[in-house]
Amino acid sequence: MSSIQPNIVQSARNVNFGKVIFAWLLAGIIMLLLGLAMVYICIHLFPRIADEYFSPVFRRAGETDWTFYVHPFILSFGLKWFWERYKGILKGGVLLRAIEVALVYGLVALLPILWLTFSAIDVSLKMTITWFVYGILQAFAAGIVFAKLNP
Amino acid sequence: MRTFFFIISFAFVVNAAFIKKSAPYSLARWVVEKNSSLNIQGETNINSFQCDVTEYLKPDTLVYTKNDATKKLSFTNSCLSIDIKRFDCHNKYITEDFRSALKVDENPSLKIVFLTIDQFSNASNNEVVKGIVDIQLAHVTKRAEIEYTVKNLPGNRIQMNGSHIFNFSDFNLKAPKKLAGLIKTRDEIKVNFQLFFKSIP
Repeated sequence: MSSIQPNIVQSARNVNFGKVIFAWLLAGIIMLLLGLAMVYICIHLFPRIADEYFSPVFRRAGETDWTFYVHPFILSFGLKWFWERYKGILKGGVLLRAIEVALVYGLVALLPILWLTFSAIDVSLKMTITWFVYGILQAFAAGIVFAKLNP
Repeated sequence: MRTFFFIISFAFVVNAAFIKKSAPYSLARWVVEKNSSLNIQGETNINSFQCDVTEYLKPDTLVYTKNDATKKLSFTNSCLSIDIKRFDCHNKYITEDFRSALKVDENPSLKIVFLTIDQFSNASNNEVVKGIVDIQLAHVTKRAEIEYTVKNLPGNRIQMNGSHIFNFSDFNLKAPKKLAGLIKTRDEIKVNFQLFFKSIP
């Protein structure tokens, strides 16, 4: 514990905000493109699962469409904060650190919230699993960007 | 005096000719049979879908006058009313979304008002005839020319098949879109119907 604390403090002091904002936006853009690609992959490879988006539990396209396109930037912001706070304890190469970010996000945030979603809303397990995979891959992509730009 | 008789005779002949012309209009009825069906075909960017109504449960009757000279049928107050809640798209998500897109809560029925059918013959066998209908959906009426394939069946029964392409936007409806427009239904839908009537002279 005593060896971890100085790393966190040191990484917080060395923040370059220009680089941080660039990394945040770049990660958001990459996650958005990845998200769109994954929706199209789902449509072509798993059409039966994609059909479920016609369920009434999903909002119709309209005035709130922008919130969907903003979500990668919200996620990128959260992951960037996590990265700047804890990158000192994530050891190894770029890929290994990105995998760690993805797994932490998956276990701490995605798994519980998707568990809750599945228990409360009428969505199939298959659909919920696609969201889990989608989130893990997004966090992995963000981890690569952060490890490269703000190691 | 001669002129007077000539005028009277001419008037009589003209009048007789007029009466002869107006005579060939006949009134008749078609009772819609239960096995009549209607389906709507559409496409999403995922796959295609088909929504069916396979039974017509209302005892509707179409009343028309036929001009024997032109074989044109002119309908009066003749309408088919289809309960939108009976549409089954064979996929529970699409069925619910389709009904919702047609605003089933505000306007629960799709109405087809028959106006005219041209060149109709009681001896038709797979002949194609044209007709005009008004389609009423979601408080909007759209007039359409439809080509029917008419077949006379035993027992004074008639089968009429037809189809027409509409757009959701024709009725001020929005084709369903989800996930910020990434999942969407095409605006164009094809309506196919197979109608069976019992002819009552």
